[in-house]
Amino acid sequence: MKIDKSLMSGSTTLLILSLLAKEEMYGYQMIVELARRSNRTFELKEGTLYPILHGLEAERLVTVREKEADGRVRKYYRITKKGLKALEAKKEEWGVFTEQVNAVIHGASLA
Amino acid sequence: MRDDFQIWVDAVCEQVRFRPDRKGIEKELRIHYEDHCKALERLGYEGPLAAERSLRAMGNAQEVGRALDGVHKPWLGWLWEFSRWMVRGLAMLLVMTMLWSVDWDILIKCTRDELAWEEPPPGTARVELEHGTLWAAPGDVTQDPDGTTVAEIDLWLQRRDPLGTDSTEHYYSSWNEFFTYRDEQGELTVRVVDERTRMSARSRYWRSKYSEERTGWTRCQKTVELVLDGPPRWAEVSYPLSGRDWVLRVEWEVEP
Repeated sequence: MKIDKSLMSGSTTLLILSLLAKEEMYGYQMIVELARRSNRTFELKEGTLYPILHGLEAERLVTVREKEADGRVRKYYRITKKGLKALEAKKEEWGVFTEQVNAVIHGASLA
Repeated sequence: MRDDFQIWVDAVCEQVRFRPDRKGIEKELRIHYEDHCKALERLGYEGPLAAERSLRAMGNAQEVGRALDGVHKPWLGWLWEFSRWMVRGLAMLLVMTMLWSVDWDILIKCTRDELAWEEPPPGTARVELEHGTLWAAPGDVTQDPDGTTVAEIDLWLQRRDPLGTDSTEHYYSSWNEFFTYRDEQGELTVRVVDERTRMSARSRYWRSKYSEERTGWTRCQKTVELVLDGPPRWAEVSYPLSGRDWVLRVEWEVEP
């Protein structure tokens, strides 16, 4: 099922930081992994990944290093301690958000 | 002729106002595109089709470029470049100042003297100091034209710490300045090498033989001349200001 892009735009940082939480990755690897883990639900336009990654790097949530593999020098992104903290905060924020959205769309009421 | 990807990536980079970052962005995007092409080819896609699919997956060049421009802000980029050049400039200035302040003559002399160290002969009298070892041995005995006897004492000093300032050796270049020398007639006074003083003095003093001085980083050799009334039998070297009680005794063989 294709998802409305606007639903995804607010959560791309959360998704990317989650991918990097376990291991460092290069750009194309992230795209493949994101598609695999979401059963191809989340498919970013691949070029748009890089502004997000560069923004995370500027905020020091990830660091970059160049590494040679298969004869090619790729940039590998790794999450920082600050990034891990930001990930935890974003997960919590996402939990509250989805809970409230579900509450609204399923007609639940606090009253 | 530019290929389709080059057209696409040029359109991306045109949007990035901070030009120094364009090359790195292009390289990263190209590697991503090539990774995708190869992945599709491994799945059996023909080259041109893989290239077309991979390029389409990259998205709109203007959108990607504008988003990258938002991250690669020119003022931030130039500030970063400026601070890098400042750090390089300061480091270079520091190195130049250090090089300028080094006394190369002393550096070369100390190194050469360190390498020219000669071990004291076996059995030479020695004393262990706080920061090193001192040896003293009897040297040549000669007659001066004025009738006085000149008896040489060879001294070796080996420091455990380079350029260390043992209280015994105030400065590495004048480590024996405050030593005292005595023989059976009592303590000798010190005289600097001065032709006028030397001519007027009769005897019983000591002086450094400057031509025999070698001062390395950890090893120093020096010859001291005792100017005496007659042939020497023995002499004692000590350093009363050190607060330690040490005396090195050297003895000359008396000719029958």
